Amino acid sequence: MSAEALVVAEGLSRHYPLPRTSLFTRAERVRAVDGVDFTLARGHSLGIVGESGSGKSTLARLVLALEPPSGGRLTLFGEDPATLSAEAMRRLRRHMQIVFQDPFGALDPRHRVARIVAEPLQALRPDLARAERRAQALEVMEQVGLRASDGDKFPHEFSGGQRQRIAIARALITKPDLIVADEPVSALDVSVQAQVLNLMRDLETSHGLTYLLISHDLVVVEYLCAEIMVMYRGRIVERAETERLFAAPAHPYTRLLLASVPRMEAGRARRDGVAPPPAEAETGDAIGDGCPFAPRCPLAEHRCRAEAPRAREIAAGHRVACHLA
Amino acid sequence: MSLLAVRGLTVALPTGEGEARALDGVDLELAAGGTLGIVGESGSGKSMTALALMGLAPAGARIAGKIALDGEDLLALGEREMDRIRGARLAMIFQEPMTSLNPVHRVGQQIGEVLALHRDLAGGAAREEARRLLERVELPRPARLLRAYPHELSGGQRQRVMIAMALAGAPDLLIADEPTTALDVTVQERILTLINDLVDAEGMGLIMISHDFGVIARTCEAVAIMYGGRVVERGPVADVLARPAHPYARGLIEAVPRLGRGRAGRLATIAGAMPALGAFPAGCPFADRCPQAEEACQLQVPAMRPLGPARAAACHLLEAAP
Amino acid sequence: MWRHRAFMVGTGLSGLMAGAALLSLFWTPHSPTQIVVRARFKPPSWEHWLGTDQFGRDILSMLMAGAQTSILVGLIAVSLGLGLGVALGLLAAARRGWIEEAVMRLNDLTFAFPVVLLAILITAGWGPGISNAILALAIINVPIFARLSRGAALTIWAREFVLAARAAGKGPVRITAEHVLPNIANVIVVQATISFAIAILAEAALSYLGVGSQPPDPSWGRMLAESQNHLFRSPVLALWPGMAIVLSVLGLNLMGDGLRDLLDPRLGRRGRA
Repeated sequence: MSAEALVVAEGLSRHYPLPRTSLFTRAERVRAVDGVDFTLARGHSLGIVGESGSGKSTLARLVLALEPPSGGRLTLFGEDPATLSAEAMRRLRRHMQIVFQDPFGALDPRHRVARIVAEPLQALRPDLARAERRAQALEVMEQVGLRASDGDKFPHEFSGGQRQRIAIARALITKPDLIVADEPVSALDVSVQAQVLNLMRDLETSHGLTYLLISHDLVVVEYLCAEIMVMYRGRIVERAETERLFAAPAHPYTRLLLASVPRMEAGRARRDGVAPPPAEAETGDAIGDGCPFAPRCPLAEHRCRAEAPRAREIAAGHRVACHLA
Repeated sequence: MSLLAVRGLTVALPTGEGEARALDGVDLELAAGGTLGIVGESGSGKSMTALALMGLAPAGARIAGKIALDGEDLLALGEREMDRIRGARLAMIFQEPMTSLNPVHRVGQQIGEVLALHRDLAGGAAREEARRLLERVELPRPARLLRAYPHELSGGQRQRVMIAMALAGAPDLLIADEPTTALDVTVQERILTLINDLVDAEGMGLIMISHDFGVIARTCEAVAIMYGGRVVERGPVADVLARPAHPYARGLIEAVPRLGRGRAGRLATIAGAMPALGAFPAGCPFADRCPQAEEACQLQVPAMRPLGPARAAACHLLEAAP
Repeated sequence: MWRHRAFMVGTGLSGLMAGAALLSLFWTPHSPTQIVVRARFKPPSWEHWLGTDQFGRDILSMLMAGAQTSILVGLIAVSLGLGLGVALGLLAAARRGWIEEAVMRLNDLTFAFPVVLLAILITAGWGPGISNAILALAIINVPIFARLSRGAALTIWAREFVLAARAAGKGPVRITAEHVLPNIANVIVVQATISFAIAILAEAALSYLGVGSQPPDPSWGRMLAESQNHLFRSPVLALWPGMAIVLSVLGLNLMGDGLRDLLDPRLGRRGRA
């Protein structure tokens, strides 16, 4: 990979204190993101897959510098956000925007659509006149398939799919290089989901975007991303090019995820050769020093419970954190 | 005789200007122990169908048609008789198991209520039966779980408790409305397996409502695809998925991205968006989004045409099977 | 439909009160303070629409002038309490941490004092009078608005559009002004009308106890207090100020309820199945 690195994370962590259970004990910490390393190269959209509690949404907020990391280093467009002045940070923010899952919660119900779409310009391009901001907002709305006349409406006048287009327009308006999309289509109906996925794919080419796509849905990630990282309990357990990951998944958790996706061809009978996946982890079981997946892993050995596996490269660009891979 | 026969089910909801039909002439058929999936997008009427079957349509709704359970017309029953059937012969599980369980009562108490109501069980017998039910839905350490509150359980465990409560009345028909949509995919797979096992073991009928063809394919033999409050196509799942006849069914199935197909090609889409309730065209509900629509489609509602064994679709452009 | 009608009735009653107060600035049928010994305890007549009191003062004129006092007290006390309270609440929600903790504990402290006790304490220090009654009422309103606006603001801060605004480079001050405040304005306005009504009641109570407005300034509360001595001779003397208090408080509450609905931009949204 010789392309420019947009995001570099080295040992990136984010820990939260849990509410204390007693006045006299130390507050427990939950490791939402726990020592994550990755590089996101321009033009090489990256998908982060995981289930609830995997830390994927926290990672998105870390990458956008909306939350400070509790450990490790983050480099965005060659700069460390922790050392930047407010003004330099605003300049940096023009290059990266976000699209959320919930098309209802992501738009302020009291603002008109043109104002919502223009919002990033307001703060990031104060040099632009109001009329110019509005003109740009209407232009980018047309690029995502909305009408310019929609600019004076309120969000509640739109369907879920159209709202997601508004959110995408807002993200596009600063002409960013990187868009972090947190479950962008999971709240949408199937037919609308296809429209939004196609739009995101078109914009990737037409606007030179790179996506950091966060999803629980492997199918969506496969459609949009060149490379996939699988997260489990705050750690990256496997990373590979998309085709490679689907063809030769190496981590037992990745294999479990792939086997669990309900397929249209399947039929009622259980698919051949797939053992029933193990029980979902009980809430709050401690993983201690071992592999986070060991309590659910059908292959776990003594070593897995005692020692956390380090990520190893098992093929070019294919890294797995498993003792047995 | 079939377990469930729905004929011309229509639910009209009062709106600002007159009323709008959330369901419009829905016909469904389910043999004893059979499994039927209902697929549709939001606004298609699939959840309203489930509520109408349970006798839980919103207050003020005008309901017409016939819902025959074992030959008995449920729409003719009074509220008290319907209470007797709900939970005992018909049971339902919902999408969000957290909000369907009462947060201030222990799990055992909530299962006990159902047992007292439909099985006349109380005290030790009820506790023993509740424990057996939790074992039946493969929850570990059932005795401990009976004393737990809903917030102490994971999403998958809560949905299992809901299923246990649905089983408590030994129903003939289980209606599941998006039971796994709020769950992680690995948990979903286990819940679907459990539902399949229970349906086969207890000989229950199943109506699975979902937006996800994968979930339907995993749990059902037959499928009905709904749009605009109507069934537009029905038939055996494998058949319909392989060769959808109705333009909407075709569009919907092609719009689903499939695992392993990679980044090749664009996804097929359906133009436009689902209209709001009451804003569907006068003729075929799909007419103004259909790529093949003709003039007749705008004017006249298409009737279901048989397309071979157990298959039918409602489209003017289809030739009926001889 | 009913909500709409309640709002109209509420606005009508509140408007009537405000109109009477405004009119009394220029004109009242008689002087509200002039004592006319010959005209004591007159029943309602063309000359005195609501009759006269024990000093021969015209009751209608006193009610109109008393509305002035009530509105003045309500307006100033609520504005002060709202301004300071909402500012503290928004600050607490925006900064969290020890600032939030300090603001909320200060609130708890104020909540612990009943309004009447506070007013008596203040008048003990600075003497009785309308301005000290207003001060007491304003202090009482600060924590009410602070708590309300903090709670409402926290739910807005948790919404994704706020996160989007932060990703767009906006700081806490701009986010508070552009996103948080407009989205909690409706609850604040509703609380303001309710606090206004409570302030009118409280002013009446304080004046009744003699720590509010002082003679000869007209006040509904003092009219009520003075009528007590003549309850057997002329029970209607208590009825008029009592009715004025009840109707204006009711009117403000109905108006507040209606505003809550009218201020929602999603009103009239069509439900989708």
